[in-house]
Parts: sequence; C-alpha cells; structure tokens
Amino acid sequence: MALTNDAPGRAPRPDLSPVQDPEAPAEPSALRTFLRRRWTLPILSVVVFLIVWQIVGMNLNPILLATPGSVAVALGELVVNGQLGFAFLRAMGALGAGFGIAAVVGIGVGLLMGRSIVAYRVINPYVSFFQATPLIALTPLVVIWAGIGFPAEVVITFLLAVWTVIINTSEGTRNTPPILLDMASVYHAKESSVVRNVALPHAVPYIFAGLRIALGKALIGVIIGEMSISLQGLGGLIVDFGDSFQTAKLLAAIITSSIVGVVGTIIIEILRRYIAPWSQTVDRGKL
Amino acid sequence: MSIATATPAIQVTGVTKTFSRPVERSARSRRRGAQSATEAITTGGDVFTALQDIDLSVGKGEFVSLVGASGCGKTTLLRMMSGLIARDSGEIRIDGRLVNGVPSKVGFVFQEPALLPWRSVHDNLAFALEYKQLPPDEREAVIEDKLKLTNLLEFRNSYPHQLSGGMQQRAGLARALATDPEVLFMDEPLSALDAFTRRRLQQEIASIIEASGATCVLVTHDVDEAVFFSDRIVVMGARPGRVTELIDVPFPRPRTQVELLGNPEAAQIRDRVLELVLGLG
Ligand SMILES: Nc1ncnc2c1ncn2[C@@H]1O[C@H](COP(=O)(O)OP(=O)(O)O)[C@@H](O)[C@H]1O
Ligand SMILES: [Mg+2]
Repeated sequence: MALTNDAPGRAPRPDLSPVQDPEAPAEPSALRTFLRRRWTLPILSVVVFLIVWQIVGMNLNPILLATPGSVAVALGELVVNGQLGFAFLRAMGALGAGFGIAAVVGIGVGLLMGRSIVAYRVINPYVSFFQATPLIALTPLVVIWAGIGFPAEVVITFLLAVWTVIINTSEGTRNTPPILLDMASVYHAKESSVVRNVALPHAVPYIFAGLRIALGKALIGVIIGEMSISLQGLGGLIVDFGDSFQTAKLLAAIITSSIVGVVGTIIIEILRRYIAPWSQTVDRGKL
Repeated sequence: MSIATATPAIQVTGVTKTFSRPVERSARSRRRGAQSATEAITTGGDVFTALQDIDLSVGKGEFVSLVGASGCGKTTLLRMMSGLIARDSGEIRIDGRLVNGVPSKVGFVFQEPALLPWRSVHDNLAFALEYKQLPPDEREAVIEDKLKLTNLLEFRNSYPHQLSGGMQQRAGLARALATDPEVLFMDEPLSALDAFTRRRLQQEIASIIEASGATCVLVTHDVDEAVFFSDRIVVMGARPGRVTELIDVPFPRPRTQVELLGNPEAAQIRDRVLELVLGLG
C-alpha cells in the first residue's frame, strides 16, 4: 500500500521518548536473527553479571558487597516478616499521592500556559527557576511547613515532579499545528472544545514523555523524603540497614524501590494505551 | 459571468494588511541594502505591506480563483475574507455584513487536510458540526450525506493516517460542506496531490459545488485548475500584494476537463493568465 503515489499522507508521530532504541532492525530479512539476539543477549548479560557478582562477592567482606544469593535470601526474609511489604506500600502511597497531584496540577498549569500567552509569560519565570533548582534542598523548609511525616514527603515528591509535567504539557500545547487551530475557529469551537479536542490530544505524547521523566524524579523525592524526614518506609529501611552494615538487606530494599518505579512506569503506560491509543510511540517494545 | 445582484456574496473594499517583520530580519536586509525601489518603499522599517488597497466583488454563486506568484498575499487575502485574521483597514462584507471573526455561512478547505489525527473521519465531521448543536439523528444524517457525496462512506470509521492524501483532502472537503456553507474558501486544496488524483478530484469537486450552489474563492497555483473552475480569475501581483487583472472565463458551468482540453479560447485564457503571473504581460 505504501508503494502507490497516493500513499497515506500523515507521517507517524515523532518518537518523544527520552531514550532511543539503539538496535532497530536494518532490514526485514534480518528479523529472525535480530529477534533471537534481542532476547538472548540481555538475558545472557544479566546472568553473566550475576555470576561474576556472586564470585566476586564470595571473596569479599560481606559488609562491602553482598552476593546475589544473600540478597535473594534477605529479600525473602523481609517479605515474609512483612517489613518490605509495608515499606513498599508506603512508598507507593507517597508516590501515588505526590506524583498524582503533580500530574493533575502539571497538566492543568501546562495547558493554561500553552493556551494563554499571558499566563505563559507570568508563570514561565517560576517554572524555569524551579526546574533549575535542586529542590531536594527545600526539604528542611517543607518540614517546617508540613511537619515531620507523610504529608511533607508527599510535598517533596510533588515539588520534584511537577515542573517537568508543566513544561512538557505547555510545550506540547504550544506546538499544536496552527492549521488545526484555524480549523477549530472556522467551526466556531469554544475555548473549552479547542482544549479538549485539539490542544490536549495533540499534547498527549508530550505529556506522557514528561510523566515518565517526572516519575523518576518523584521516586527520588519519595525515597529521599523517607530517608531524611520520617525514617519510615523504604527510605527508612535503607538508612537502618546502611547504618547497621546489613548490606544484603540494604540491597534488597534498594531493589524494592526500583520495583516501585517499574510498577509506576507500567501504570503510566497502561493509562496511555487506555486514554490515548493513537499516541503509540516507536518505543512500545520497551515494556 | 458577472452577476449584478443587489448584494454581492463577498465585497472587499480598500483592504490593506501589513505584517511586522522580526527586527533581526529587517536589520539584516537593511544592512544588505534594499534590493529594489519598491522593496525599499514597502518594507518601511519593520512593517511589511502584504496587501495594499484590495478591491474585489464576488457575486452569489460565482466561482473566483486567486492566482499569483508565491508570497503575493493570496492566503492572507483568503484568511481575511473568511475572518480568520483581521484586516488593518478597509471593509470586507459577506452577504452585506461586515466580517468580524468567521461568519457562520463560511466554509474553509485548507492546503493540508487539517484533520484531527485522533478522530475518525466521521468524528472529524462531527467536530465541525458541534457548534450547530443539531439533534443526533439530524447530525448523523448530515454526516452520512456529505460522506456519501465525497465517496468516503465506507471509510467513516477510518483514522486520517489510514487514508491516502486524496482521501484526506476529500474528508476535509466533506467537513467544509457539512456546515452547508454559502461561501466556500479553498486555499490550494489540491496542491499536495499527484497529477492524476488532482484531476479526478477537480471533477468531483466541481460537480459537488455545482450541486451546492455555493460561492467559491479558490487559491491555486495551477492555471489549468483556475480555468477549469472559475467564472473569473483574479491575477495578483506582489510587493505590495495587489490585484493586477481580472479575467473572465466565459464557459458555462459545469465543465469537463475534456471539453476544455481542446478549446482554443480556454488555451488563450490560460496563456494570458500565465503571462500575467510570470510578469511577461
Ligand atoms: N503571520 C505573518 N507574519 C509575517 N509575515 C507574513 C505572515 N503571513 C504572511 N506573511 C507574509 O505576507 C506575504 C504574503 O503571504 P501569503 O499570503 O502566504 O502569500 P501566498 O499565499 O500568496 O503565497 C509573504 O511575504 C509572507 O511572508
Ligand atoms: Mg498561500
């Protein structure tokens, strides 16, 4: 079908994901070998890594480096005694609240900035400033305002994540093709309809690219928040195990915190497929 | 065919439009030295005169084409007539009423299909009808009618990227027709298509427009297309953008490509327009 002159006119949407897949197939005939390589190499890589780690770890002081085997045992122990499950849920809760509010506020503010040049000029200085500031330094101030505990950690998480969502949403909205906006004015679309049917759908791939980056920042907020404010949850476990030189348990807690991130990413991807199936980007093989 | 009714469908009187150029660009051109006397006059400071003192009257049901070198202000004039952008001075009336924003009797076919990529063909038409707030069954009837007219009924649930360029442009036309416009503006609607698709679509559009009785203003860079469609061809010149010549095309509509092909008078008109556009006349 792509061989006729009258071929589909609209190019696929650009890949907006921050990471590019380095090994795209060169030609279809190499597909078989490519597919085989695609799964065998990463798995082989991990297996070899774990074996080397195990061998090196067995010859080192276990305080310096725990072996994969001992980490697995520690992980099992912590799951069974319930410590890890509770910590995991607490982190998911802080992430869900902080990142969720950041997503809603970020998309709202971003849309406003994208549709109103006045709002853009008023708000943009703050966005640029906070995006460039290491916001984790605000932790003491947040504690003064919100007290020691879960709310302060949610605020930190929110503060770390929201700017990226704002920037991506407003850029995506501002990039709406002028011809679509002209079309909307020809058909007398109200501003609410322009936002809902034109600007927001156009911004969706930008928004989700922003959400993925913001999720990483939010997770940093969650863990550092727990480490420096309440000493509970995953951050608390990490500090405890680190201070008491329980390296295997420490690594188990760290691995659990990356699982929080993976779960978050999967939820975002499921949402994207559900809300905006047309926004399929080239990186769909990644999950 | 100059139709002398009481109120013309479109009346343009003494319309001028200037754009302010980015400072950086005009500073550079000043350093380079103005390239011609007219440029020195019309590029006064940072202000660029895109259109100067345009007068044009289009009768009800008339088909008028705007032709002229690239950059002479055809798109700008079309967008002002349709109310998409404001004029600096002068008057534009559609059906006797001063244009201020897009009038509700106006349809517009863009150079690109301008379809919402996240909506099916059917839903793209529905978007155009939203402001009319029709009862659902009436709305569906209109959509079905226009999709039938443009041979897109079986693609009603397709998304724009699943359609060929010609079909996308047809969907854009179906959408423009859905609001039953009395005045239809088209900005190079077929310029992105290959020659065969373009010919076929010209014929289809001609018969659709004939049936609707709409007043049409078409921007095109294809002189044959202008001759095929128009009652009158408006030749425009650049720097500043202005109307240089009005040329009647006295053949009865609807026409066919074939009957114009062997017509010596049509060939003469085409050559005359080409000469004028290329600045040889
Ligand atoms: N929004 C704008 N800002 C500045 N200059 C513009 C703008 N729109 C058009 N122009 C200028 O006005 C002139 C006429 O443009 P246009 O109407 O698009 O020409 P045409 O459609 O005949 O090719 C061009 O020189 C173009 O650069
Ligand atoms: Mg143009």
